[in-house]
Amino acid sequence: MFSAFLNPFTLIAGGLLVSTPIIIHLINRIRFRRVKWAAMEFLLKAQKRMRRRKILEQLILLLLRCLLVFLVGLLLARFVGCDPGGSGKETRPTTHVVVLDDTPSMADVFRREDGTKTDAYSEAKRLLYEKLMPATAEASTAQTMQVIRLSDLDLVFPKRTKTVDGKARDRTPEELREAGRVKTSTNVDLEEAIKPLPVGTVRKSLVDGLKRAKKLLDDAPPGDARVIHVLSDLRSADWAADGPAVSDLLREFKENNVTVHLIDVGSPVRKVDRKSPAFNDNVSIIEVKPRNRVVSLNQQTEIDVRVRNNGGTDLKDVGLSFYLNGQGNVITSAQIPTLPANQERIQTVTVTFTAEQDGTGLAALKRQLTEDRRAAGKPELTPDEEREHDRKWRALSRFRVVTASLSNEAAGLTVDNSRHAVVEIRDALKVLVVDGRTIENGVDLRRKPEGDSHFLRTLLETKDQGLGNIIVEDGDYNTLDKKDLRPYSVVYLMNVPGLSAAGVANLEKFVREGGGVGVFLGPNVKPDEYTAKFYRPTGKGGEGFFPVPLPSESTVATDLQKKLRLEVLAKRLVLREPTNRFHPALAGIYLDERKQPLKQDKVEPLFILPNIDARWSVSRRGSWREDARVRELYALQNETPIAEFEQRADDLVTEVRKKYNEPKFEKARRYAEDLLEKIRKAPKEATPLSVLARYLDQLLCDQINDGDESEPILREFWTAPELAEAKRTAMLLRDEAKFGDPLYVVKEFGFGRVAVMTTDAGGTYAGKKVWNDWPSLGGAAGWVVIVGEMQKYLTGGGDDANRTVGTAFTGEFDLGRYEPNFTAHLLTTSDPSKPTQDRKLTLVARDLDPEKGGKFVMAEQKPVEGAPADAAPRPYKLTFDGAKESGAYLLVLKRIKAAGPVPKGDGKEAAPDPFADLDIISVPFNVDALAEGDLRRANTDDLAQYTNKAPLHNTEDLSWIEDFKQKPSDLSSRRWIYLVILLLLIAEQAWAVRISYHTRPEDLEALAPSAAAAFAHHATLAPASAGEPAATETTG
Amino acid sequence: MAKKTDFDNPRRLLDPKVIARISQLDLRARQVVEGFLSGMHKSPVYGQSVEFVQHREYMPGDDLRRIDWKVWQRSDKFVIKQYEAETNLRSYVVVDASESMLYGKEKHRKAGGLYKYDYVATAAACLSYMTIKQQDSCGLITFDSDVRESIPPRSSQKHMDAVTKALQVSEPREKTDMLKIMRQVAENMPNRGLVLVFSDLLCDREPLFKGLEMLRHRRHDVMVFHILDDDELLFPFSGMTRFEGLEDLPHLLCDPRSLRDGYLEELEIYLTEVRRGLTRIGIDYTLLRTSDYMDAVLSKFLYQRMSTRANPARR
Repeated sequence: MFSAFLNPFTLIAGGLLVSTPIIIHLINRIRFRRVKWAAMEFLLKAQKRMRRRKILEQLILLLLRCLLVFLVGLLLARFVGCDPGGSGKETRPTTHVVVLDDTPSMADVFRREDGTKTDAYSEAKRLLYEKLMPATAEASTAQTMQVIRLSDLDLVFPKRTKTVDGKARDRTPEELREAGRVKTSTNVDLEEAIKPLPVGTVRKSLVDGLKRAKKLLDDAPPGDARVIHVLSDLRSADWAADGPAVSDLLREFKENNVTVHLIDVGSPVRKVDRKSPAFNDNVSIIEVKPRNRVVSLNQQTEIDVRVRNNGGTDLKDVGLSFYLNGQGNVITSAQIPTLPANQERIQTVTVTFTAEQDGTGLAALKRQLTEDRRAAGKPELTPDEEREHDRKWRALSRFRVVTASLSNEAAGLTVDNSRHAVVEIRDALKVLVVDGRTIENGVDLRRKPEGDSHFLRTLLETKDQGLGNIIVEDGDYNTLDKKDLRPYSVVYLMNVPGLSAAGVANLEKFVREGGGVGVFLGPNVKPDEYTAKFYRPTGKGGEGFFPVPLPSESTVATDLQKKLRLEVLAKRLVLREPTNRFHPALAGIYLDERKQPLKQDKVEPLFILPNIDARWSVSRRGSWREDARVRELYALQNETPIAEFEQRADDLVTEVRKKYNEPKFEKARRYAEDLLEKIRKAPKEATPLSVLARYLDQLLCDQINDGDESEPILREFWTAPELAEAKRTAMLLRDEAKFGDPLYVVKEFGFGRVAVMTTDAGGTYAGKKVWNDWPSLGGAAGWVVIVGEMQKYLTGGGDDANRTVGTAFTGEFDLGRYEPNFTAHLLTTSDPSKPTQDRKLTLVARDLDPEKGGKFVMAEQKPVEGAPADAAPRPYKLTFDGAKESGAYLLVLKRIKAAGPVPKGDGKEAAPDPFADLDIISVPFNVDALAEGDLRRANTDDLAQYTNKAPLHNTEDLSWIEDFKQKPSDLSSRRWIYLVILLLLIAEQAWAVRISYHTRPEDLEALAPSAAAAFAHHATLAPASAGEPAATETTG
Repeated sequence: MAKKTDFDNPRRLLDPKVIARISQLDLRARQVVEGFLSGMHKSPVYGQSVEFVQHREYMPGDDLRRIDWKVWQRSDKFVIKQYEAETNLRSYVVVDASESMLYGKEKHRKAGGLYKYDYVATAAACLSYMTIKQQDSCGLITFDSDVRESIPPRSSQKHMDAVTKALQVSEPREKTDMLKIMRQVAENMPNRGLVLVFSDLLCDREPLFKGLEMLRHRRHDVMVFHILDDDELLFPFSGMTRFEGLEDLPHLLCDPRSLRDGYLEELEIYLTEVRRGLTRIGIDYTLLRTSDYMDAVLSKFLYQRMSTRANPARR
């Protein structure tokens, strides 16, 4: 650079350029005009006087002008502060890989500065083809650019295939490189390839994208520099999950000399000085969950919608619309009154599915499907296939798509404003009731009040209590291993002695896959079988489906206990914990539609009536309590003799009295003293233990809320730190006095649910009602409600995991029972954010094909190593990962042998089910709103830590892109050189103005007042003399 | 009151640009003076007849013939009637016709204005006309380094033709020599009179003052009309210019803008010096510029005449 600059010719040219002002001056001297001048005298004198000063002034001006030209010259030569070596600048050929984040959160809509609507993804794309690509095209060395996006890691640009003679053919690596070569002309190709790409629906990890980028870079020529650009919104939800993995990858990249640029395309622009960038508000529906996945026609069920406000402001009146099979106005819209910032709310709506709500109708769906087939260029179906296809869709039309949609969100993501759920509507639900005693002395006890299941069957078949149509089928516990349980929603084991190992396995699989099992114990139960096979104890609870271990013997109440029970009106069943009211198995009893506790429930008052004399006394303490899946809902009242509690009650009273003499407890003492006295006295009289328990409850006030005026005062009293010890003692005493043996225990097992009553369902044994009179006598109304809720709870299990598109559904199906092929179908609606005028969406049905062609096939699994040769073959493994858009995916499996005819409740055989050979699995897939809806963006410091301070850019300051132009930088690209030139220019002008002649009247006034007077005098004198007569004339 | 149009302005005829369009000098003079008088509506000059001015108390030694007997008859007091002087004014118009008066000739020809000599000649003609019209006598002397034309004072209307002719033929040339000229003027004027000097006074100050002082010594009334071109007063030149000195002065190539301040300062020194010098001698001094309306000269002249009458001691 220097040598070029010192070249004699350049030097001469430069010198000439710099002396331009002098030359201009000289030319001006040649070009002058002549004036014959009389007042030469003054001119000569003035010149003589001002000569020195003028010369100095003019010299300064000349110097300034020369300097200006010199600087401009340097600027043009780009010599100022030039960086000849390009220190640290890339001069090698470069391979760029652009990782384009197209996860749903990139659809975040915002307004650009000019007011036009845009989203982060469009901005990213624009940045790529308008800025990044053109910049690299300017580089002097060869540049290759490849683009991938997260939702589909296959190359987006350049395309993997090319068309040769009308056929698509894969490109060789060399061709690929050539196609990815950045020339100015390829900008169009890139834009064409990228612009139409929509935002994906699938949440993908950046780690995969980086790994793919790495693979692409591995193919780059060895001499190339390698650069990865990540265009993403850099949300904290993504980075919290992927941060460490990304960190490792980036470290590896650094070792391999791969540069990674992170470009934040999110809105608002990530400012350098703000560590936690601002983010846009967004409200998401994160879950739509029907209470029951399978309901009978006309059965009322509930749908819970979880809505989350991810923004920073509280929202009011968030509206929710619902569509059933695309039809609006079927399910009542709901409104969430307040949705505080960063919180979620559950809104429940009630739905009754009727036959009329079919929506689009089967005929329209068929038409749609036929059109799809034709559009895809598939062969026409043969009449047989057509018939089969029709039959399949008739079976599929049992499924209804429920779509929830936020109706009034202005900004943020649209994709998370709606969510689909699927509910299967059957004419009737099938329930299998397995009785312990079937036929005794030639009498079928199953349908007799003496039997084990009479009351349950009666309840299920009433079609009341919101249970819908239920078909009860009889099961045999001896052959339960052979029974295909999939068609049943619930299996009840009534006083069943035990099951074979295969039977237990079958039942367990049924529960794990989402079935419900209700167990009523009874005298026939073999406790060892239950504990060993059903419960299967481990160190921490049981690994089987059964929630509790059973004692070796059942417990029967003594006559004294029965007598004492009658003396007081105490609830004979007690809610084990106040929070049980919110448990799904009891919520229907204690909560209203808005999930708010009812002030007065209708069931508990009935609990003073039933006599439960015999039960299997499950040990109160035990490892089963540590299992979080197990919950004790109701316990029996404790009927131990009260005398055992006398000493402890005395101790408690003494301890409390010792503490509460202080004046601050004055108020509490008034109420407590009376109760303490009662507690002290109660054990001394022969009262039932429940009386003591009630007093203790009144004293502690933590489980009751009768609205008594003493309650708040006593509650406050117990919060005093001095009473912490006494409180613990009192609570322990109360619990022991109040709660007897567990009565109602539930367990969540796999996707299914298990409910256990430790007593029987009202059977009669040897002519005596030994166990209890709960279902049959006074307490029956309570039993009906509780068991009805149990039935609903048990049918509500199922694999309703909040599945997100892009994930896979897996399941296992018996080898001998199904054909390996299955078909997949999609039921969804048109975009829920755009309903028609009459609030309708179009129901969309589609037959799906595997991505790689062929058919969907379940995989056979290899036998476990070391398993006996005669062991049952392992089941098929079904894997479905074709969900790319949200909706209900229906997988249709075909049974090898159709299920037998359904026996009706009255024992007669019903007409064969036309769809009995089809087993349909319904799986809703939705956008991952929980993760994608949160637009919070990663903290800049955290990012720096995760990425080992990889360069992080925003969309506003694009100076970093300049580096890819590979141009030597010099001061001409800095601002201050222009500032200096500007200042010089201003100085030059100011100086020139200062020393030059600019005619101003005051100049003359200052310098030559006499001359000025000559002008002023005559100018003012004249009009006065002229105006006077004119004025006289007019007035005269 | 309706707005006055340009046409209604009586001064419109005094504009040098208007006057420049009239080539005949006598016509010019008539135009200006008539315009001026009509503009004034009322002439400050009294008629040429002997006219009463005021009464004065009789003082011993006064001519008895002047006593107003009518007043004595009524009030028994001797009062003298005073009359306007009877003698006719004898005035000389002295016009500088040196080369320096030629400045801007071409320029003003094009622009339709009056250059210095043109202006001065017009002014001189006007005054002559006015004087002659008053039945006073008026003479003319034009000069450069020497007296070029000399016309003795007459008061006949015909005399006006001679004056204008002399002014017209006198094309300026050569240098000014004031001392010499003034001496000649003084010699040419045996009686006391009014000397009106029109010049740009671009000459050495010392001889100028001496010459004029000489005139004053001879009890002449002297009025100096100092004419300068607008360019000379404002120095509005720009761009590289070569100033070629008139009257044998050297040339100068310069950027006039850079010298303007100095020029104006020098001009101021010069003007002050001239004004002070002339005032000291007791000469009326008026600075004129070529763009001045012609009435500047006339009004100055009349003012001078009236003040002389009011203060006869100056005679």
